Amino acid sequence: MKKPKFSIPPRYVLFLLTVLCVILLGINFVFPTALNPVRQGIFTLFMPMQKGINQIGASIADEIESFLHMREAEEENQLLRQENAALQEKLDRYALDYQELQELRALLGLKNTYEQYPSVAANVIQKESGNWFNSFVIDKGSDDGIKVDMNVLSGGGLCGIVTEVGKNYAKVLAIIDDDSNISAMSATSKDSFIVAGDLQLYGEGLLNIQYADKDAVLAKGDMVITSNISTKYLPGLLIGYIQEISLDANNLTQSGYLLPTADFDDLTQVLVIRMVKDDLMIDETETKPEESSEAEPQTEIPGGTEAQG
Amino acid sequence: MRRVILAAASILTAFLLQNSVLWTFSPLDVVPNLLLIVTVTYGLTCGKRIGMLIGAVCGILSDTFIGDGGLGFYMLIYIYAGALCGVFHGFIYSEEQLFPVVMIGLCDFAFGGYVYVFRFLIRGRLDMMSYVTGTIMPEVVFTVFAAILFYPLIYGLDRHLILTKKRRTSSFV
Repeated sequence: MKKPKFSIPPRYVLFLLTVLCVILLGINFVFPTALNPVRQGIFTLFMPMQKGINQIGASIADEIESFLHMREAEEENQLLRQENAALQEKLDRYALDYQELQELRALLGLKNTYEQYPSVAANVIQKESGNWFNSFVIDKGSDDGIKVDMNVLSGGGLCGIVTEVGKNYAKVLAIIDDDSNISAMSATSKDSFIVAGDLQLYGEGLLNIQYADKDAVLAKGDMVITSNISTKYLPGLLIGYIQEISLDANNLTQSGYLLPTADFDDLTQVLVIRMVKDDLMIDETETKPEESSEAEPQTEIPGGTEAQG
Repeated sequence: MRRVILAAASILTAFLLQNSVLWTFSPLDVVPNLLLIVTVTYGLTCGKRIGMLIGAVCGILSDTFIGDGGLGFYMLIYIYAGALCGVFHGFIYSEEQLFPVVMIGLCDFAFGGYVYVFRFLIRGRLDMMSYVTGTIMPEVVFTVFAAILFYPLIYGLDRHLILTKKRRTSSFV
C-alpha cells in the first residue's frame, strides 16, 4: 500500500484521535453543557430528514399492519364500540362527582391537580439508535416552551423526562432506561419507594420497585403514582401498577416489580407537561402564604433518594 | 469526489435507518448497528486512515443522538473499529464475503462489551452473562444479518465508482 510521503502515519493519527476523544470526554465530565451547541447544531441539521424518514416508515408499517390484521381489527372494533357505550354512561355519572370534587378541593385550598397542569402534545420522531439505552426524541422544543426536566406522559402513564432541549426538538429519557429513577408512592397507602428502570427487565416490560419500607402497605395491583417528595417529577402522575411485591431477605425493605401503563413498544404520541417541579413549588409558596409552612417541607427534603443518570 | 458522496450517503442512510425506520420493523426490540457496518466496510476496503475518518463521523453522529451529553464515548470505539479493520485492509480480496462479515460480528461484540463495561459495569451491574445473552448477542446476530445485505452493497458500489473513474487519484486518501 502506497503511503504518500507528506502525510502522518496512521498510527499517529490514531493516537491523536484517541487523545482528542479523551479530551472531549474530559470536557464533558467537567463542563457537562459546554458541547451542547455542537450537538444542538447537528441535531437541528438532521431533524427534517429524521421526520421525513420516520413518517415514511410509519406509514409503510401502518399499511402492512392494517393488511395483516383486518379481520381482527373488525372484531375488536365491535367489542370496543360496546365498551365505549358502557364507558360513556360511566363518564356521565362521574361528571357530576367531578364537579363536586372540584368544589370541595377549592374549599380545602388544594391547587395543582393532574388535570390542571398545562401540557402540549408531541410526536416521537426518533428512538434510540442503540440497544442499550432508552431515550427518544420528540418534535417539540424550546420554541414550544419545552424545558429540561419536564415530565412526559404516554397513554395516560408517565413515560419519561426531558433531558435535552433544542429549538425544535427535545430528547426524553424513558423511565424504563437503566439510568432512570423515580420517587413514587402507592396511590392508596401513600407509602413511598423508588421505581427504577433496568435493562435486564426491559424484555419483560417491567420496572424495579426498590427501597419500600418493610411496613409499607403494598399489594399486587396497587396503582403507583409519582410521590410528592420527588425532585423532578410532578406529584400524582400515574406510572403503573404493582406486579409483584415481597419482603427482602434483609427484613428491612420490600421490593418487587411494576408494570408501567405507558406502552413503550408503540410510542408515537406523547404529552409533555409544561411545568417543572420547581415551578410548582414556587407557585405554592408565592400564592399561598398561609400555607407556606406546608410547602416548605417539600423544598427541604433532599433529593438523595433519586438520581438522574 | 463521487466516492466521498457515496461514503456520506452510506453513513446518512445507515444512521437514518438505524434510528427511525428499523425500530418499527424489528422483533425483539433489537436493531442492527448499521453505522458499525459502514465503518468496518470502509476500514476493510480503504485502509486505516479512511476507516478512522468514517469511524469518527459515525462516532460523532452516535454521540450527538444517543449519547448522554458529550462527544467522545462512541467516537473512540468507532475510530478504533475503523483503525483495526484498516489493519486488515491488505488481507482481503474482492470476492471475499465471509471475512468481512465475521469481522463485523466481532467488532459488534467488542462494541457491546465496551458499552457494557463503561456504562453498566462501573455502575454496579455485575450480571455480565445476562447482558451478553440478552442484549449483546441479539444485536450481534442482527448486525451480522444486516452485514450480509449491506457489506456487498457498499463495497460493490465503491468498487464500481473506482473502476469507472478515468484516472486513478489519491486525493481521497
